[in-house]
Amino acid sequence: MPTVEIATNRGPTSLVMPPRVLFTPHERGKNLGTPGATDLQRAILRAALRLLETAHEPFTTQDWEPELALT
Amino acid sequence: MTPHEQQVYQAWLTRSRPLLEAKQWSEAMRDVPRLLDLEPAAPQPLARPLSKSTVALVTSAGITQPGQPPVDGENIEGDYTIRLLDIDTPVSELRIWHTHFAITAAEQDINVVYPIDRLNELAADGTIARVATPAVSFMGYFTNVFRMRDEVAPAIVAAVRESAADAALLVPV
Repeated sequence: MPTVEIATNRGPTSLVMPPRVLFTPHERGKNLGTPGATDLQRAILRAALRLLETAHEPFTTQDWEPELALT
Repeated sequence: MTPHEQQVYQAWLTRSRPLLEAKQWSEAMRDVPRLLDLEPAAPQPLARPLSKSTVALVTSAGITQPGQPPVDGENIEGDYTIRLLDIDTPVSELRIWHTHFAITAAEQDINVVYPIDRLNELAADGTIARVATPAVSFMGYFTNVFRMRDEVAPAIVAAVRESAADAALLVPV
């Protein structure tokens, strides 16, 4: 099953080494950012879902950056 | 759990129980038994384009919907059950039981840890084909990694496969 994570905590994630991870710079419990920030949340989701198509190496990680919303 | 794993875990729990009961989580978890010799997981490729894929949503925010028993957020060892969430349940009716992160933001907008509305919007605009139902929730705080491996992970995998999803999106909390 192809999987991708949207994670905030690098430590535990690095122990597990899942196939694909988008790290967001938010505090725990705000993986997709600010409450009500619907455009940001959709952009983060799109970036994570894109990894399903583009990531082929084990434990591929990407850091969320606003510029990703433009791609 | 093997007998050895059971022994290792119980020894840790016995000496760590006072710290857990005092909510000194970091100190308690410093030497919690972990799975060793894990290898990086190889990404499985999508079988079809993302725009034609059904995506399952899995969150460890400990969420329930009406009619389901609560997740035992107060249990110092964690809760090793999962909940299947109807993706059409109004988010206002969902309840968060995880007690190891500040849930204020998630109570204001559950999409920050369970982005069901946003994922449905991406299905509506064609980014994905559809959202799998049910979604899956479990408790992200746990002390017994062996039970996670042997009970929780297989249950999640079975539920996602049963939902006929082509891929799964995980939001770990």
